Amino acid sequence: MDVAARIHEQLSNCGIKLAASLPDDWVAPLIERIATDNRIRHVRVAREAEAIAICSGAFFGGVRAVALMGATGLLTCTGELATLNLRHQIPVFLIVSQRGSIDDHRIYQEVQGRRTIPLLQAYDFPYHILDRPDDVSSIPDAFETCRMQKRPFVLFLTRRLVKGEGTA
Amino acid sequence: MRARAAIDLLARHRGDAVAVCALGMAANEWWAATKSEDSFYMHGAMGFAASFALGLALSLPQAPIWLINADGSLCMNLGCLLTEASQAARNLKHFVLDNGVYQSVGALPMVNDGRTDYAAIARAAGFPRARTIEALTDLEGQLPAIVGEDGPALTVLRLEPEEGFLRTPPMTYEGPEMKYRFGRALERRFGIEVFGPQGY
Repeated sequence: MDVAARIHEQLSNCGIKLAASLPDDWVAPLIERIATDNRIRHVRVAREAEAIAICSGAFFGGVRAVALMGATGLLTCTGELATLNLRHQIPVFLIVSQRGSIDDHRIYQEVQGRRTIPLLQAYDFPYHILDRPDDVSSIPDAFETCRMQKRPFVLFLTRRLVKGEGTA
Repeated sequence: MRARAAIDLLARHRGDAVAVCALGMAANEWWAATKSEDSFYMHGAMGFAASFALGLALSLPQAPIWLINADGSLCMNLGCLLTEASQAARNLKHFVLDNGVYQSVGALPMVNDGRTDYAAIARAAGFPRARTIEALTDLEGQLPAIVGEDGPALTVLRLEPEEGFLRTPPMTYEGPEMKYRFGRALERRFGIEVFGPQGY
């Protein structure tokens, strides 16, 4: 089973029924896999903060949801995460590519690599990093932690997890 | 038409709709008219009441969902119209309070005031139904049909900029309490579980 299939399986185990997404190339295979699952309502958005607010609305409909995006997209929604989710203590579960890591040789990702986690720490948003295929089994615990902490929770996917060993 | 009169009219035709209100005038006036706990009043995330309402509508297809949006908020996230059109939630109705100004910060003019046709933008984004209503009597006449039609549907209400508006949110609760009052109201009405057995 490939990594996207394993993550998808764990999201199903969490009871996820809605996914809102805007892809980067690392999360694209997972998004397209979820899009074929007719048990999950998939919402393609035009801006990542839409995904945050859609998942927040779904929370009040009693539906478990996930927002999928790249690290650059996460940076664009920090205002909404603060003034909607932090303000009202609304949990939102995000799966985000951990761009800008030492094995991600894309110059336009280097700021994301240096500043994303410090930014989450400044907001006191919890996060967890999936780096190896065996880590994927921790997704239900991460989702429950998100619910309990009642705030945004970011689950990062590393390049090694989604692309395998080696750099590019 | 005047904002308060338009909102009062919407409130009278609301029936059992759950409302999501953009921050500022939309939220403040809807509270003043309804004092309803089964409404969510945005205090932040300007532009994203529309997305919140879409997520709620997709998750509660048995519930009529009314989005009370405003022109300032709509312009901050025009892409929401593409997403709303593509998802085609039949239970979602989108109202836009269009007064051409940022009223709750002192009625400063909006960008492109008076030259933008939001209903045309919605139709171009894929909305099957969108219209602009200028007069209160027209709104009164058209509301029964609007209430009865399937979403996605967008109705722009052309309002006069006003003095003496509600500058401070008049809701008597906020933050986490708004989450729990709104979520518990939906649990009672629809028999759903928003919060788990331990309350989170």
